[in-house]
Amino acid sequence: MRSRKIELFIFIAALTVLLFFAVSALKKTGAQEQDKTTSLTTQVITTIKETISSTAVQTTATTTQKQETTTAEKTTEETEETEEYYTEKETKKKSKKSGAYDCFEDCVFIGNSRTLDLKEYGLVKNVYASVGVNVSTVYTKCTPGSSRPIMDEIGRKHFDKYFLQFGENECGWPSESTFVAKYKKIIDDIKKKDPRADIYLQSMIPISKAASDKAEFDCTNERIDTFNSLIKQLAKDEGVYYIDVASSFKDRKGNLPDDAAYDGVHLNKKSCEKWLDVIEEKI
Amino acid sequence: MMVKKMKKTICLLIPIFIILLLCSCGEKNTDSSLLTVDLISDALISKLNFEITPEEIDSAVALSDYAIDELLVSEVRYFRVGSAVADEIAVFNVKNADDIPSIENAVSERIKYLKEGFSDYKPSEVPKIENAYTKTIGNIVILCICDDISSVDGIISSL
Repeated sequence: MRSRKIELFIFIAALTVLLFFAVSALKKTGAQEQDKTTSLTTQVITTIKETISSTAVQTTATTTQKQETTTAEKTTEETEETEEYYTEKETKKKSKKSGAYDCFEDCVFIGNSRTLDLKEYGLVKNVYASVGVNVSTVYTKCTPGSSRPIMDEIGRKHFDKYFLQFGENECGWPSESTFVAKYKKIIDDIKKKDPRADIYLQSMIPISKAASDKAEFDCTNERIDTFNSLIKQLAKDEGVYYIDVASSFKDRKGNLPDDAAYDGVHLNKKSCEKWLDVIEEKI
Repeated sequence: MMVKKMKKTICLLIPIFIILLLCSCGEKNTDSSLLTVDLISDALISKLNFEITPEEIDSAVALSDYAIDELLVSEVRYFRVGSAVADEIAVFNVKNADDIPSIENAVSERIKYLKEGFSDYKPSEVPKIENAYTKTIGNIVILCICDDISSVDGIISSL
């Protein structure tokens, strides 16, 4: 009687263990299947979206053609305007598709981590920048994927325009004249290495109120404004261009809006696009 | 008597079934041929805990950042928050097994570069970079830098 009870107990225990493993195995397979199904569903949705968008583009193109034809019958002037409008739209679309700003293909951006984000987000190709770079370490620090210091990259290839932005990592420097002198040296070196290029000094973009109050690296919006005045004067003295990008990023109190950066300092992709739009407008 | 014999047989068969079941589960985990760049990167980005979730970056940027020749890899997925945060996921599928060491070397160089860059800029990010997860499964080379690094191996093993 006792041995029968033990046998029954072992039987039930074994059955429970078996059920447990069977259920976990089923769950695992189910999860994998779900993953596959999700991935397949995503693929199908993407394909449908692409088809719809291409159909929409085709329809728009057909409509445009029809519109243009109709307009051409009316007046030549109106047709030119329509063509111009659609050409502009098409160009912007191409830029969006490639993910990069094609208008900056012959330009190079030099600067610190803020500038590096332009490359990280895939917006511009030619970027010589690194985290923590300042007007002094630009001669020693390398851009990601290169073993050559940033300033040694210059002159190896001609660029039509050089867009420089420095200052955020130098705000805490005790001497403002040192910053100006070292920045001047960079400009002079670029002039020597790539004499046909146009040089643009960009103003520093403000930081959020929270970041300004935190004053990391002694960087506050007041210091940024001071440095921007120095940069503007330097551009004038050196006979190079100055671009005021800062004004486009200031809220009513002169701070960078909180939603413009992921940490109060470094711009998110949307704001980086705005930054490039501002430059594109001003050059 | 008959019932007793049946029960004994069942009791003997059940452990055998369990062992077989466990063996089949184990086999699934070690089969690297089922793993893909998409499967790994999607799992890591969706299951890891990030302070700020990294965004996918164009593969061309990954090749530039890692100084990798595009001819060496067939697939790349690259995720970053931005240049001021060290968090990073990069998954490469190497075309030829002979080139795996050069991709692994590129990954090591990338870790070295990030460590140097952040050490005098944001030292708080350095421990994360030092604990970077690197693994090669078949022809797939993985780099993951995040706070939730202890979960990475489990996520990949569960695929």
